[in-house]
Amino acid sequence: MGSFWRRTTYALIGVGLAGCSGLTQIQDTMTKFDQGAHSASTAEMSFLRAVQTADCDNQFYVNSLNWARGAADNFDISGACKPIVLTGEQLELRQHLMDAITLYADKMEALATDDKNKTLDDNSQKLASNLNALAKAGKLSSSAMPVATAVETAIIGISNMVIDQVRFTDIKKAASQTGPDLQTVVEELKSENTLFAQSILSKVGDIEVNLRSAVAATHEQRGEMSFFDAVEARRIMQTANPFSSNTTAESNTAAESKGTAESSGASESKGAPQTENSANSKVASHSKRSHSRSKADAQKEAEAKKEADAKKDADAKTATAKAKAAKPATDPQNVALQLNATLDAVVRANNAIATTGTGGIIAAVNDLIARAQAAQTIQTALNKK
Amino acid sequence: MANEAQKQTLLNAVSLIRSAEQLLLQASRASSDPATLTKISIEYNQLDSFLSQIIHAQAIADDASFTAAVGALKQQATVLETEEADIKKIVTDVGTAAQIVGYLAQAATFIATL
Repeated sequence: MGSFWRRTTYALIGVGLAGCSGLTQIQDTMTKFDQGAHSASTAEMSFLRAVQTADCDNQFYVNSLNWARGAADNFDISGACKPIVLTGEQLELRQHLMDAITLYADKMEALATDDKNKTLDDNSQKLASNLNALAKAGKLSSSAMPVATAVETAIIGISNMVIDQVRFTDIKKAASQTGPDLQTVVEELKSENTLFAQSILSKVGDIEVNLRSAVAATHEQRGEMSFFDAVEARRIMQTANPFSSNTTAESNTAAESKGTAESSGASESKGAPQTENSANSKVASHSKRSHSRSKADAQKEAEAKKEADAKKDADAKTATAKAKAAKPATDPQNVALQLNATLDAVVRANNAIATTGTGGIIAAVNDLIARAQAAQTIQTALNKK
Repeated sequence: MANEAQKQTLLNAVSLIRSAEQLLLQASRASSDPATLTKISIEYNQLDSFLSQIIHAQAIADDASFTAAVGALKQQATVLETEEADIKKIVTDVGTAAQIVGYLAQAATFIATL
């Protein structure tokens, strides 16, 4: 074989191999995207159920104390509760929102595979169809708790994408077209997480002041026996906060007043780790030395720089997320911030899929995975209660 | 549903009420007097109840329901002003009492602008 053909053959083999490994890399990345979305969903729903639990616990203790004081006619130990802060209907709506996000991620993973049939499994297809039908009929929630039109439209958009077998075949196009709907759903979820955290803290504090009042009221009568009342009150406090291990409301208060601003996250990072793929930075520096650049070269340089910046930003965020994930999630406010950050990471990863190259996508999905790990820590802490 | 300005107003009110609650909690921890603790718990209960109503209102998507909820909140806000006088009697530390009263007054002002 002549040297020209030999070089050409080797080049073609190289491109082929690079192409194969690139496809596998994307498939692996989309699997991680799907895993991250599911972790976010599980943690979010656990958090919302914890909001209801805190509400119900508070109602029980306050009602019981009112009865003990003669301010209520009766007391209830059945465990039955009608949550006020987050009703059953509102919880169900949020389940629909998270289902939309996870179904979308499932579909994106399917689109990235080599399979000719990109259909999801029967259960997922059914869930997506039901969601689509509910949203179109305006029945995502009851008339007593209607959904904002924009959210309903977003759910229809996402579930249409999941069900569709023809229009959406390319992950970049799918991510680009569905991105705004995903953003709408995520913003709806985020806006309430911080408020719900405040609600949990308020109710935990309410339980404490009521317990203190009850213990003090019987102290004169019970004398030294009120030691056991104090011990029991402390035991109740340890279970009152669904996120606590041995923390007290005071440490929660301190954490709340200190604040855990998400915007400070970037400043906590010690700098982005060195990237393995330095091809983009090499392209950027080479282009700078050239004096006569074509328009195509300039565009290429801009795209490469954009991808490198996106990767650097995502790597910095990942480092921060990993640092935060190492801390146990005991403060509701911190939990809410972490959940919101995970939801944001889902949107960022989707935007990366729509607009950047493989390097940018991998970085954004790695950031999502790191934040999802923090969300898993929350899930684990809540499951222990 | 609440527009962005109204959402921010509600968020501000929540933040102020939480600040008042935290000071009440501290006052509770600083006392073992039964009468004082009972009064503090009653005040705290009312603030928590109001907080729950605000959070619930913030999540309402329907305009008519939101308007009704805001009306109820405004009525409750006048009760907040009544509590200010009670708090001055319950919380012995003058500085702390003044802070709590300040937070509640600001929260009531925010609610009134809805």
